[in-house]
Amino acid sequence: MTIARVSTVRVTKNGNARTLAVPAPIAESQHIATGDEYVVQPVGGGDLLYRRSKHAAGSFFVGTGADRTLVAGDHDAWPAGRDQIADRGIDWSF
Amino acid sequence: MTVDLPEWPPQRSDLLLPHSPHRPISQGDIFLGLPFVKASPPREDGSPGRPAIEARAAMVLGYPCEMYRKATLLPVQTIAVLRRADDVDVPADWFTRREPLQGAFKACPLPNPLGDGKLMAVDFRALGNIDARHLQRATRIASLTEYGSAYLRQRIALCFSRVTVRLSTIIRAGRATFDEMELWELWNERGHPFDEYQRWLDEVDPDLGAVRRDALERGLRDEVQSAVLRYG
Repeated sequence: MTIARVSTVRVTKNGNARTLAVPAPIAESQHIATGDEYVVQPVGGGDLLYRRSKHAAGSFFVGTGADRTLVAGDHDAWPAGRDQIADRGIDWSF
Repeated sequence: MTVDLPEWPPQRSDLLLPHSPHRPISQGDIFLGLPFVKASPPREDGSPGRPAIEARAAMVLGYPCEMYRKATLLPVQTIAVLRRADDVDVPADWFTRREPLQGAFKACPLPNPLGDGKLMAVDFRALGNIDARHLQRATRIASLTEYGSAYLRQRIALCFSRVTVRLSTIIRAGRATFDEMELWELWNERGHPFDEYQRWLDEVDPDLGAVRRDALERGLRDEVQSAVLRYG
């Protein structure tokens, strides 16, 4: 598993929009191109999760609390994490 | 290799193909009324309970390479029962949410696979064996698209390994096999003998200068398709 190197992104104003500048080494290694679209989602603790707007993104967090690190998506597979749907189980009446 | 994925949420047509009697039986095919052998709990004296046989809607799960020997379906095939989504903990908005839900790893939800408008799900806990003679192309009600096949395999991996595999990766890995089955369907549509396709695929094609199966595995689908259209 590759842990993304911590690096600072910078926000600039671009008309009424905001532009998020991604450091070139990360952009290159993760194949982030000009015009790519991301969705952003607050995930608690002041952290934001950016995911490619195409649903096949492979970004995920490792660690907990302040040690959480975003592993940017360019992976063929990644841990599924916890099942977000409660499991009512199964019995022989199925 | 270019892989175009539909936007989430996918439509039924992104996942399921229209019925075709010419398509060979393959992974993801759905049938009604298959005899599903269901185990049962042991009796009070500890002896094995009597299995039940129920007619169920079910999906074939084997990978095509392990389902066939040449053009013949092997007698033992694996199926999984198709159940109402709610019974498998899949919420009704599975295919209407803007983002896919990360959950229900034991299931593969499908939109309206039976044509009755209901959200269903393949339950990977409800697996069984069936004799291949029960799998008839004439009684199959649906097959999966290439994207649908990748989605199914992604769900299978989630269920048994808790790993999400990128759909485009699964599509790339399975492209040659999917092409092989599609061209087998085309072969059948053109009236060629079903059983001869696999032998034909293993022959050297003089125009390709290669074994046709090898050409498919190198991504030369269009060229092999042209060879099917030239045949006979």
